[in-house]
Amino acid sequence: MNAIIISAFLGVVMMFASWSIKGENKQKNIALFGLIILILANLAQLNGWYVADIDTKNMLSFTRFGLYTNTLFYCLTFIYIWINGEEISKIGNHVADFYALFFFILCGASILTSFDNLLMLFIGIEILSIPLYILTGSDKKSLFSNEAAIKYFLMGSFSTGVLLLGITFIYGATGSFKLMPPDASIQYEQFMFSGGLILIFAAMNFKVSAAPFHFWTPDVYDGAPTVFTSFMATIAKSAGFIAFINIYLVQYKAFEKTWVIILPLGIVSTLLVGNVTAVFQRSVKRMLTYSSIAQAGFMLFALYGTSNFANEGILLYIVVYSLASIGIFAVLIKMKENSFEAFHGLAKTHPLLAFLTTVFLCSLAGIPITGGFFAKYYMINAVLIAGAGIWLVVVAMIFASISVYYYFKLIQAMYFVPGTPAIGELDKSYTYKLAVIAILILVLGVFPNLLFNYLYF
Amino acid sequence: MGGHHWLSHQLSSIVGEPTEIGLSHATEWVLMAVSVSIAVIALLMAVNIYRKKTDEAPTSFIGQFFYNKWHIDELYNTVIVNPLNRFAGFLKNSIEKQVIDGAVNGTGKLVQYSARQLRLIQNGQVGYYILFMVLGIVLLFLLWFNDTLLLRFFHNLIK
Amino acid sequence: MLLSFILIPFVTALLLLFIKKNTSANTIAIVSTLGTLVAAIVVAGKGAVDFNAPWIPVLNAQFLLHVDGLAKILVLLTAISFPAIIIATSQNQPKQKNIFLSLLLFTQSGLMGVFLSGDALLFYFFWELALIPVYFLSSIWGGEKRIAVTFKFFIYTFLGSLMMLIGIVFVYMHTSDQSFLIQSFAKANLTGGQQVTAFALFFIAFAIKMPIFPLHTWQPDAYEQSPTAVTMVMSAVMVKMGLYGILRWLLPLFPTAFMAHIHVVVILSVIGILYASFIAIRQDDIKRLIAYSSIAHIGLMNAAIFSHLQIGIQGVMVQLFSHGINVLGLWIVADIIEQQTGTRSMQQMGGLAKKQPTLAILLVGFALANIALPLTNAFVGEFLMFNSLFQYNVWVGAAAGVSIILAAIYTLNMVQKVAYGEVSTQINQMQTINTPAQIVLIVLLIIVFVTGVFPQPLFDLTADSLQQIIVK
Repeated sequence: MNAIIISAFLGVVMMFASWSIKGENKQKNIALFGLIILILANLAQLNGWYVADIDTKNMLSFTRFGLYTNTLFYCLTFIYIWINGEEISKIGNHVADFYALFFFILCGASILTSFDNLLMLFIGIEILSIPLYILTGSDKKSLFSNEAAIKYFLMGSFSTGVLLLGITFIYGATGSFKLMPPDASIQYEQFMFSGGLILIFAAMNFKVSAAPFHFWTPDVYDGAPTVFTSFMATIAKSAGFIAFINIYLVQYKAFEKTWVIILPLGIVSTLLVGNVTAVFQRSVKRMLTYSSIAQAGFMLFALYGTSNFANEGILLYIVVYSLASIGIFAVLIKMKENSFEAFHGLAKTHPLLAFLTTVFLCSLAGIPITGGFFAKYYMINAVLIAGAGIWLVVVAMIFASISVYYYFKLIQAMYFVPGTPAIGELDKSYTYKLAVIAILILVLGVFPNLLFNYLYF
Repeated sequence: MGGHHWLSHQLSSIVGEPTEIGLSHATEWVLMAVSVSIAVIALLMAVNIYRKKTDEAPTSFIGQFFYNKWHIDELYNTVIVNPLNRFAGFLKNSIEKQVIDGAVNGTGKLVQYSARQLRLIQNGQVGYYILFMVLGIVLLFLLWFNDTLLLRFFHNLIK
Repeated sequence: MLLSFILIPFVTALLLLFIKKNTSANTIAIVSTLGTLVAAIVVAGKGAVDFNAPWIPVLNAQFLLHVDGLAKILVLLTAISFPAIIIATSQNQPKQKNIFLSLLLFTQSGLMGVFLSGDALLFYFFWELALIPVYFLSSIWGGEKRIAVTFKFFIYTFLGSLMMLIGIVFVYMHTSDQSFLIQSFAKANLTGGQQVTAFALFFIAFAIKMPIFPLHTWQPDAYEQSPTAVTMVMSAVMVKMGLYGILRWLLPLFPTAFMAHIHVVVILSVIGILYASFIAIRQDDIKRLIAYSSIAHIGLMNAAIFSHLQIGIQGVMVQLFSHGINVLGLWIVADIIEQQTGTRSMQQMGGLAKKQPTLAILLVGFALANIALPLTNAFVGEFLMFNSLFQYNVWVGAAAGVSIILAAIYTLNMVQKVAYGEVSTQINQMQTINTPAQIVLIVLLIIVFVTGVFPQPLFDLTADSLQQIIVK
């Protein structure tokens, strides 16, 4: 509760700051300070301290898992702003507005980690999505950015419609917005209930860009300013995943029978579209958008079961994937163009930066001693424990080895192809900030349990 | 008689003591006598031929035959060396390059080909995208409400 | 003590990143690898206690290093190979040599980890760790087609290891105490079908690594295009990872599935032996010739393991070491010739015996060991392996036996082309050979003959592992 209230409040504060406080750097520092407050407030709730004691009428429920997820989101956002602050200020005139939007997104995310009611799901998704539409179109002078924003808005509205229809169906069937497992004692219309679940499933697939609802992703991620793509592909998307899992942890029973057909189909098609299409891309940014679809395919594994591996695994996946993506997008931002050619010879001129990029890419590819390895490991374990067919894991791993192809193409461009990289101004502190991310990834790659220790204490 | 088989004890700790398969002394004497007499006869023949000190190649068929070392080299070349070389060349150039490595590289090419094709679906038209999404939802509905049928199908497929 | 095998190379590798001067980097690398060698000799002689530390408590994964005979022999091989490689190639001056050496030492660290881990997750970790530096080494310092070739090699083996990862998770789930320890894995409750699944997943990884026909096509290309020091690491030590994996993990963990597949694998291996030997006959590139010869030899070892007889496995354990030494010697000679003449084509060589008699003698020595002539180390292992194949099935043994003849053909053919005949212009350019490389070659040749005549120490070293594997 603390987090939801304070993040919304901080959003408003940032809007005021946009005209009352001059200086982009100051505004960034306020945002960072706000995030620290947010983290502290969230942690305070874990210890039973509330800003306001509000009766949520069981529409929200705050679990340890949800609160911990919040903390992770805030920390990731902190790192994101800490690194990209300068770049954000280059887009548009009212920088603080963007920070306000981030806080609203976080507010939506906080609802998504704790909703216990389909109405709250809807509100959370909308609070999360609307700022994203704005961020996509934030580069007002760029035609691409505008086009992407319009596309995103149109398709997003469509998926919202689908989501609402699904919620309505479920309400019609059960007479309640509450998330609940189907119970023999409650009379409900089986057809409508199932139909509602399918529609919600489709809408959630849209949010996490899983096939065949992923079509918006490449266009939108590609069109949006890179710095915001970074945010959308990581934190915003992860929030969608948490919501997705929240629904299906509860409704798992209703799905059980058909799960074995629908979920593998979704996973395999997502992996196929993401990995295979990424192979052909000539622009690094577009490759990364497809890779984010591919990674979503792996994260969908978490829907498979209710085991600890699924819960811990999705958290680890979110953190590691987000860190690596934030890192790699941060490198991409500094390049003058998005093509692979721009990276030629980077290892010669910027050895440290090239090494850090390699760490990020290895993590995305899931290579040991980076966190990405354990993220994939947990997903495999979760699926196998849930009793899914081993063929699914084998297929996923084949796609994982395809993913090595496009990730390592970038490494090849940096290390093995001579040339002069098209890189802009780069001060040392920027590289060091990226080094912090890389160190986090490596630490999680050797001791992934560091992340979970706080989940249970 | 017979040498000392010290080499056969080299691996005795692993394979165990070898059983002696010695020949009887009589056989050995006979073998020695026969081989020595053949050698002596051949020696005498050679001395007889080379006394004539002819350097040119012999003309008789048998002479020619021996002069060319029984044609062993040619025979050996046609029967063993050339077919072997040709067979090895066939393996190296056809099987290895085209079939086995071709299969590996073909997999890579297949991925790239499908990448080019899949890319085309992403054509930038929002209308198409929404159409695909609707088709996706329809597919989900079809799957959901035919699940027993499908499950039975998969079950039979696996069996 | 065991930890030092991983830490010495690892720490030195980190240190080398900051040493810009070539000669001092080289010296440091040599000292470090010699230090590892001393440690390996001590451990091979006296044994060592396990190193055990908790690693990932939530998964119950442990950082467990354990040494037994099989591990000792491979640790010893790794420890001998690396100083030999670094000393023998110390005259080569790749750009940024310190990074080159550093990556080599990271590989050594990974390899040691593979041979010592007693925990499946740790094993997988090191398995990958040994691979990644090699990817960079070959892609940066390799030949003309290095990028594409190394990439193929990397993706190929990575796919294999991912399959093994699934296998590890799969078995882990079925262990009674949820642990990655090899003892728990051995006691896992797997039904027959599950064992076959796990067997297949592990086997793919090992088969690609060795490699076994028809999964071998990455190897000749990778050997050809990698810088020779890396090729040496790959063929002397890295391919042994696959065989080691079979002996350590596959055979003891899935005995039922293993026994069910022996025929398929033996036949596949024998086909591979003959196939690779035939192709080797037609190779003109000396590196590719050794590569195919290596595929044949590894195939024989694999066939011998799968014949599943005590003497075969005994032979393999000795041959793991011997093959490493022999192939290392061949590579070093090939590298010296390539460095000084700039060619690998045997057409352009000839007359080495006249120009460089010492080198030619060394080449002949290693060539004879490659054919497994009696009194060389390879004879001991191959004799036992053929013996076991004959016991397994006479026809299979006979088919594999043909490879001895083929090996003689291509090896002697190579010796003839390189060492005899007219002195070619390329060979004529050769200068005197540097002493360190010569010393390394002589030491290796001494090992070849000493272990060929007195193989008993090697048998004693591996006796305990053999007991375990066979008893199982």
